[in-house]
Amino acid sequence: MKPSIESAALAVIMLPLLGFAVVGLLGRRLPRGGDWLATGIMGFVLATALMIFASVFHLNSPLVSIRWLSPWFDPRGNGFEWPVGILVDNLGAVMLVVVATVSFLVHLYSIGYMHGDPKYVRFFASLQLFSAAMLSLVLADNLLTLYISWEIMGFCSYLLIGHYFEKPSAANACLKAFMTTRIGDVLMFMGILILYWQVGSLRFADIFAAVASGSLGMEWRTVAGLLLFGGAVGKSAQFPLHVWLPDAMEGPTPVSALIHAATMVAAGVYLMARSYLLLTPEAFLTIAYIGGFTAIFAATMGVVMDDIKKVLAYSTISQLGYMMLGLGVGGFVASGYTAGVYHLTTHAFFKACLFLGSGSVIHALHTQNLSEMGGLRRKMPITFLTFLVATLALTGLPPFSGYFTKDSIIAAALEFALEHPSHWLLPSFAIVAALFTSFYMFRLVFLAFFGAPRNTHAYEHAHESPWVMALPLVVLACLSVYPVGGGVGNWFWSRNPAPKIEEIFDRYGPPSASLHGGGAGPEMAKGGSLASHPLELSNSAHGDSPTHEEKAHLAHQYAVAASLAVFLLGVGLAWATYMKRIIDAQKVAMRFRPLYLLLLNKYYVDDFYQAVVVRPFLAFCRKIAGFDLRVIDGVVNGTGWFTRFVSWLVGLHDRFVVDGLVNAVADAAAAGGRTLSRLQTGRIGTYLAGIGVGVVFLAGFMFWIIGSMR
Amino acid sequence: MILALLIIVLLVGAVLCALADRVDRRVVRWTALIITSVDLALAIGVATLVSQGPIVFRLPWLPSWGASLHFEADGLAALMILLTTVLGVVAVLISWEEIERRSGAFHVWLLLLQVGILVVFLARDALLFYLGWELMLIPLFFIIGIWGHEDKQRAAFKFLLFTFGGSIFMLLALLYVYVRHLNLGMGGTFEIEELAKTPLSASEQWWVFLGLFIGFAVKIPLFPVHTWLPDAHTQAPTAGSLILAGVLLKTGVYGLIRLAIPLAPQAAEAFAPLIIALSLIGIYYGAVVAFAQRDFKRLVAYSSISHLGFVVLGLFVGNAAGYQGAVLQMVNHGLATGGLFLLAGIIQHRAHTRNLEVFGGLWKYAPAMGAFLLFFAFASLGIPGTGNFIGELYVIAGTFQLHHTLGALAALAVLFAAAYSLKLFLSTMHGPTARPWRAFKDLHIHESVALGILCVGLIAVGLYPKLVTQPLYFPPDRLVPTTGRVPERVIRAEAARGSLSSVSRMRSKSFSLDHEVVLVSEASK
Repeated sequence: MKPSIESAALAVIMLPLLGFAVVGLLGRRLPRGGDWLATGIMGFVLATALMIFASVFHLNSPLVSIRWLSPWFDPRGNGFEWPVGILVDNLGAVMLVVVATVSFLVHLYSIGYMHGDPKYVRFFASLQLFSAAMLSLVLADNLLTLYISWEIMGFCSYLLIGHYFEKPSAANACLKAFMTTRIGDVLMFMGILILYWQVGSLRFADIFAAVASGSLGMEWRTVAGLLLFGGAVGKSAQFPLHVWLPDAMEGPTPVSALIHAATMVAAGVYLMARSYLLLTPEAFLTIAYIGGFTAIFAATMGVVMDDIKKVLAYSTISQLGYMMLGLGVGGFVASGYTAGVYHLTTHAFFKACLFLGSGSVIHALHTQNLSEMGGLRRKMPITFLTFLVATLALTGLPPFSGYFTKDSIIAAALEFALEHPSHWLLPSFAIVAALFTSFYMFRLVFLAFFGAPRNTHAYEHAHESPWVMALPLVVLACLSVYPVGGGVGNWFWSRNPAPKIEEIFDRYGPPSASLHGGGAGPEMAKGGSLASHPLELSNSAHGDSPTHEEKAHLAHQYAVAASLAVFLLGVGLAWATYMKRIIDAQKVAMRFRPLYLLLLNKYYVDDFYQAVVVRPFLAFCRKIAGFDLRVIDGVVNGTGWFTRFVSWLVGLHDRFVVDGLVNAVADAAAAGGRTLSRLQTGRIGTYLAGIGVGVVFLAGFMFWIIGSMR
Repeated sequence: MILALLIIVLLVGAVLCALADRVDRRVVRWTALIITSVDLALAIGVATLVSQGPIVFRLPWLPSWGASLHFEADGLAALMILLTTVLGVVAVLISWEEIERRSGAFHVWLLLLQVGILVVFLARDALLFYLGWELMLIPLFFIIGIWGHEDKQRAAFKFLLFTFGGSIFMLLALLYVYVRHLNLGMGGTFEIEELAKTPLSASEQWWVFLGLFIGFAVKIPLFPVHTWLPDAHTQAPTAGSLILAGVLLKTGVYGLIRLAIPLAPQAAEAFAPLIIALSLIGIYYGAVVAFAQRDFKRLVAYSSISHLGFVVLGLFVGNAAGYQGAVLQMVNHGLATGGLFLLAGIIQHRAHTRNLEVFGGLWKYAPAMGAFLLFFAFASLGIPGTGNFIGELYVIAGTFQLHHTLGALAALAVLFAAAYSLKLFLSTMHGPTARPWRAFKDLHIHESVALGILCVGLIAVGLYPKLVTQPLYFPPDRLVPTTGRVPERVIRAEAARGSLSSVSRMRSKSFSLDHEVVLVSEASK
């Protein structure tokens, strides 16, 4: 069984890569730009992924790790060895199926949506490369290949956001997306290097073993965990770095569905789930708070957006925040981890459905503005129905998938808050965000599909999308229904697709030893109020189970009640506002104008970054460039000038002083010569007289010398 | 013999090009292309042979001075000559259309330039090294000065004076070691290996290293002595920029590895903090200044300063990871920045400007060119899959090993690299078209081939970095020249000198040359 999983996993990564090369290089010569090849490859990948999924679940062991390849880097010198491998465990298998499914459907959908685009071939090639990267990220058994895939996904995201690069907004959006996520990536890279130098390996198994044995200190775990989370904050658009995702909607809608809703942005959540054992209570709390805050923060902005894709973008950010919240409280409450990972899978399907549905609408109307839509349910029944199903899933009505997962996140947060009342904010975030969610989603549905068409011209030309676009919608809508999406073969729900945290502990040995061992004392004392540490769960879950279970049960009841209540409230408010017009949205906006403006301007976060980061950076760069030109190069050129100046001076000196002297000597000699030449008379008598005078003079001189010597 | 052939082929090629110039421009090009291709084949031969041990070629040259024509190729040298010859072929290809004036003379200089570079990479004799070092300057001086752009003569002179000024310090340092070696009764020789055995006191080493370092730092160029580079690059014709960025800058790093560190290992260690600081400053400084540039070539030139900062950083962090990363980055930078300069030249040839502010939306007109620029821009910011990622990974990992904070600083610089690379791509290829570039043609076949060669090289290194890191250990038992690990012979020499310097201090307070000579000769008895 194992070798077949191994080769299947390898094929899953390599085939899209091959597709990228073939479509990218030869796409123009292929009939229809090679879209059939790319889609076919993804279909095959989906089948393979399902097979892997089934095989992994046939094995009793919940984790299957396959080590593969090693001599990639030169092993010499300080043990610089980075083996590369593939890891297929339950988490990976689930992600594999999710990614392959959405990617295949998006490929299919794009055949219709991108039809006639001048950059059709490039689009499919990029999608292939992206799929390869995302699949290899899911299957990575070490942080290095994970990081590599992570970066390549960022590159594809850049390309695809900038697909319509003639538009300045798209060109800027892709730059912004890449730079913003890159900030997170650098943090993550540092975290990886810290782990490398502390552990000596980047394989998850080795890192977890170091955690279990206690050789990786608590402080390094916190630092590295938070740095990794920094990467996740960038990629999953969490609070301080969320600004790129709404702008990323400049990309074609299938891209938004695949990359910026279902898969790539979930990679951050996946990374956190993957490196779960590394994290410490401090890290968990940070994750929970950032996630919870993001959930409510983004949901409020979704309320006022007019662009259909922007609403969905903020919804995505908000839902990613939910997942982070789930994972964060999962450090303290057993169900949180499963809930977070679950929400990732269900969200992928219904959010992809929503985005593709919005793409269908945009395709029909050629506008993204809600203010120009309306009444579309009659013109586009399939789109409407699937969109409605996905909306119900997102907002959390019981038979639909989102209800179960979001509810369990709220329940986990509540349970945590029941045990530690000081953290009451976390469940409040989750519940209030759910209220906003159901409001803005139904606002979207009512505005787009109900009422009278606001732009009759566009409405008249609207039509249902072709089957390549409708089919993915239907499939995704089916997957958003619990009995279908959750029920097929009982895989998605009851057979625990996401590994329970206890199983991970079973796998890597009793971790509590590391905590009660040396070095962990102060942290434990500080975290005392947090009572149960994540790694103690396996023990404590059995120990004081009555109160635990009671609380869990209680929390679950509260959560069900709360989420249903806010669902109804949200729907009712939206209905009253946008269907019955009992509440006038415009008046409300006027009444709370500052608040409305605050939301409309996205809390001025973008402007803040512009003013505090971007513009100062640009100014700084220009300053330094000026410094380089004027000061450093100035010194050089100045030296040059100075040298020339000195040479000039020397030249003057040479001409007037040195040359002058020489000339003076010459002149003197010449003058002397002229004077003396007069003596040359040619008469012998004069010469003789001269000789006589000379002899007398010389004789006198000699006598004087001899005399003086005595 | 193959080493001599490498050089002889180029020299013969230069003569042939000069002759072919009387026939036709096309003949010149083809001659140059064939010659450089033959040289590339020879270099590949060297690279394969070198795994079985170093290749040596030695002829007497100036026996009375102890100088010989000593060429030797080990793994590092083989990598460097491979890089040189690859870029040599690319340089001929890219000059195909660009050089219209005095084509024969241009190719003669181009081939002679490679001769100089190859001599530097292969020489194991200090005098020969110096000869090659100066030989590199003259051809490039003429290439910039004659075939360059608007402000070519000033740039050419600046380049010449700067590097020549630096190399004087280098020559002085070399001569000092030579004289010391001679006066110590160890015989007059320019063999680098012999010179490295000269026992030098700490202060002597300090001065020797400083002299060599100044010479090499100008060439690399390191932070405060870099300003000749943007001018030279901007004004040089494309092939000149390519060779300048691709290999010429590496001769500086190579000199540090081959001369400065072996001749003065302790001083190298003492200087390491300063050099690390300078290279870190250079990394940031180059990136920040690059971001503010409006001239395509100047932007790339400043990015070179940033990248070379990484190389020097890796070299001086004093561990194997850093050293491997430094060499990887030398190769990658040669390929990636070479590619960017090619594109700069190609775009300038079509648009007659390098001003980034008037470009925009070019991808629409030139899909292949856009794809290449995308690739090289992302290579330059270190995207995985290209060699640059691996190189930066190694350097940063090495820096991390030395010090976590320094490593974090080096890692953050990657962010700045992304800023200027994306700016470059955005302002040329993305966005609306600022001007009607209707006549803008996509790549010619020879341009695609030239760029393709560089692309393949970068991907090969990125996917299989062993291509570069493995040869570094040829011959197998070679020590990685890390500054942290002082070779044993130096320690021995130092131990011997320790007792001597105390004696000499008793006799005279000044460390005059004569005193020590006497002392050493006494001690040797």
